[in-house]
Amino acid sequence: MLTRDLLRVRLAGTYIKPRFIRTDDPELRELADSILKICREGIGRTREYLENAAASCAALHKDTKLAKGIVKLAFDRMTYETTSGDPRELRKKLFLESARAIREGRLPESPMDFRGALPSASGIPEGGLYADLPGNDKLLSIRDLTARELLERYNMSLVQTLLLFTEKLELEIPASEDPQLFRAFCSRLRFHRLLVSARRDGKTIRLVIDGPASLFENSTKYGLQTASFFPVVCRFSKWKAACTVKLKDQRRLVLDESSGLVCRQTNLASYRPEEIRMFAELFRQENKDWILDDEPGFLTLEGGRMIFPDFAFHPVQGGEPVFLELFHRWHASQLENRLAECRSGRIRDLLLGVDRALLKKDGVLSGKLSEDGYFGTHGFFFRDFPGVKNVAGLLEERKNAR
Amino acid sequence: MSGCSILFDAGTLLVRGDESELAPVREFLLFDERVGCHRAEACSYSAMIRALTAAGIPIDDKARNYKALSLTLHSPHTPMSHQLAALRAWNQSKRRGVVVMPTGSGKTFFAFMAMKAVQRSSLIVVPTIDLLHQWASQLERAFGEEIGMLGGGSRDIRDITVSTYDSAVLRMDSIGDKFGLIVFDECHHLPGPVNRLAASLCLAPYRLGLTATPESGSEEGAEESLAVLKKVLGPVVYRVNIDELEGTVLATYVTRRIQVELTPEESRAYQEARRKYINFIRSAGIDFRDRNAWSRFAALCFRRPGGREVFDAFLTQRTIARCGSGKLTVLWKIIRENPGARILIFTADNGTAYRIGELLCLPVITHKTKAAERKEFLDSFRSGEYPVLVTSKVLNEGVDVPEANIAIVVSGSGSIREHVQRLGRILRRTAEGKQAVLYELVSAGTSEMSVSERRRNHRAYQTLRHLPLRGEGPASC
Repeated sequence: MLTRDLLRVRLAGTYIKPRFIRTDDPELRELADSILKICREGIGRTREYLENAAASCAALHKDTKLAKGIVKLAFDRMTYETTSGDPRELRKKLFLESARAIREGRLPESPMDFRGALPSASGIPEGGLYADLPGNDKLLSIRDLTARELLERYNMSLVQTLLLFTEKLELEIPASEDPQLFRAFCSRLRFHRLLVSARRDGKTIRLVIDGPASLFENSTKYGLQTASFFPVVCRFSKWKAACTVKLKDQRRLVLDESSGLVCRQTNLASYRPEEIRMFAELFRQENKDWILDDEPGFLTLEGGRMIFPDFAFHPVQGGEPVFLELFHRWHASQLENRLAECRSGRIRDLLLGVDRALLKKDGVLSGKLSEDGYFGTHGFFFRDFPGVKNVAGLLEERKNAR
Repeated sequence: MSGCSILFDAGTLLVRGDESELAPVREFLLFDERVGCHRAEACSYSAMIRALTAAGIPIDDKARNYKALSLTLHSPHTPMSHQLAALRAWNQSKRRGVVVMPTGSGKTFFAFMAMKAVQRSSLIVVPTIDLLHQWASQLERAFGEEIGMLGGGSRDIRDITVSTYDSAVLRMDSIGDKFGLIVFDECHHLPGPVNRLAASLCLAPYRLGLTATPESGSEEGAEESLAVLKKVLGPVVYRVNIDELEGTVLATYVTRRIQVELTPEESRAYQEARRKYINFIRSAGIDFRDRNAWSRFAALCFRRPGGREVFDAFLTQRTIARCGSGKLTVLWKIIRENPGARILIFTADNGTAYRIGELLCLPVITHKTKAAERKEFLDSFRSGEYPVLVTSKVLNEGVDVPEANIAIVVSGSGSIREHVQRLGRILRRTAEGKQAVLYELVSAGTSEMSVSERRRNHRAYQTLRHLPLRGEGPASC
């Protein structure tokens, strides 16, 4: 991401608009190429040298702030090694000599003559006493990318940097979007510990994303998480995003798919935890009465609230699917809410799998679950990953109950 | 439902119960549609428990996850009268509040007294890595327990844990239920919009803020900061000032401001650079009382033709004022005339600190100094192996260097808090007793004169026995 001083925005009425760049602009491609060249050819050079070289390159560009932003994004991808020589021992020797001279009052009249009077000083070049400062670190490697990718990242970073100064993000996504993308979207939300209020409004899903404490304090605490989460939104083919940015004043940022933002995060949609993948594989091998769908999308509850189950099971002989939602050790509050919703009859045919690790965290919960009527007929416990037999048994009970 | 259930959830409390059961705590609750139940701020925990208990509502408390401890305090110190008075005041305020004591008057030991009184899992939040290590080793000695650390590469949570402010903010939504007492050292750092979350996302019913400078004269936002401290920690319950403890708990001290003349060359260069810089800010209409003035100045420097030269001029005049050759000469003179002293040299910026370190072959501690070497420098300074230590800002606060008896402020900002904290570094009384001296070097005829006036606006600098501004003279006192 960029720093605040490198933001390039346009103010239009009550709106703030990022000044996106054209990623196919030949002049900008040339600038990005020159910066990347400094990085690639700078392996082994010092941080200070590279920063000076890149600053000179940026200074030549007509839009210095833009050039500095691109430099920052390229430099964020560098790994440095600390200087190979360790001047600490030399320093220590010299400091002990200077300390002795000070204690004993053997000091020349002028401060300029002091260093020369210390025997160890001759072994250290001028300016070399603190040679291991970060400016002297050497470039070890760079996570390389093309000039076009760097410019695309610049546009994304403009938005992400603005999101650092927001309290919440409002989104609109068509319900017809790929369920796999919704799954990736939800997994990123959970990863960044964000909360979502989602309502289905006809063919559109409206979402508000913030964090638990947003309810009390208008804080940008979740800005970093929101900014880190945001790229996954750009994976949808259609989307709208809006938020209020609090910089010098408050202005609205409104974006949609036409902004041309590109999400370069890879494998977002295809990531499945190993235990989930194993369960799906075993279930398919061992059970032929149900067709397992491991990308079931979402369920809409009364009032438009949504839940995202982990699996749907379709009876081979036809009929309504049964869903399964898994609750891990960090899902205690979600489990209690889901039970309340299930008991109220707002959800039917949702199986609940509870990781035993969650019970360890909350001793009272175990007793509550054993007394809960809905959990008694729809729930089961698992350790690490759900048992195929447990699930198959419950599915049969649901089929018979119908 | 019979009773009210409370669950800690990511730095907040989820609260369930019938409407009638929730009535006594209604003022703390907001309904969260995202999860379909009421939510409260974690810092409201103790007030809610008290209100529900008073109303006779049964509580299913699944939020509290901290332990009762049996701490024994092993320390050669006996509590001093001001510490006992502070503890009484804090106890009377339901063990919530801010205690204001000058540096060197035993704030850390007072925190130990509070921990012993409370006997609950405790989290101590500190502003720097140096303080993290210092508190951890002192706590270990005081209570004979292994101490957890959060920050500086450590992620170890124990019944007694020390954390930096940054790590506390980052982790509080997952650890905010694990401590019954939370102590904020140098709690004037807490009111910022981010840092305050370390207090509001934690449910600890007992809260203590420690500082020497909760507010600083007329500094901007002082009133608002105090209001935030009151909300998340409690009111100021006890206060004692430097001059009230001087000579008894604290060392006696004098402050000495020395006006240093620039050389004719420096003076010329300063005037020329200053003129260029002042003309530019006047023509651009920049007023440095405005919060955004600095970023506007920097932006204009890189946008307007000739702006870069103005920026260079700004740096030149600042460098000359902060550490001209005259200051180096006076600094050297003070070192020469005090061969047995333990001297801390403060600068406004790292560049000046390293320049002095290179020239006089002295150890320098800045935020860039690696942890191991930082510890080595501090230990050697404390033991007397190194009699002089140079630093920019990282030693302004908290770090315990009781042996230091001379502070030389080569340059600094206009912040009253910074200047009082720097004085505080040399005030810790030693067994032998000591006379502390703070020298402030000010470049004559430069903007430093007004900066110095601003930062001395505190009662610690305003008693008559402190020597008035004068030109260079005999440096020893």
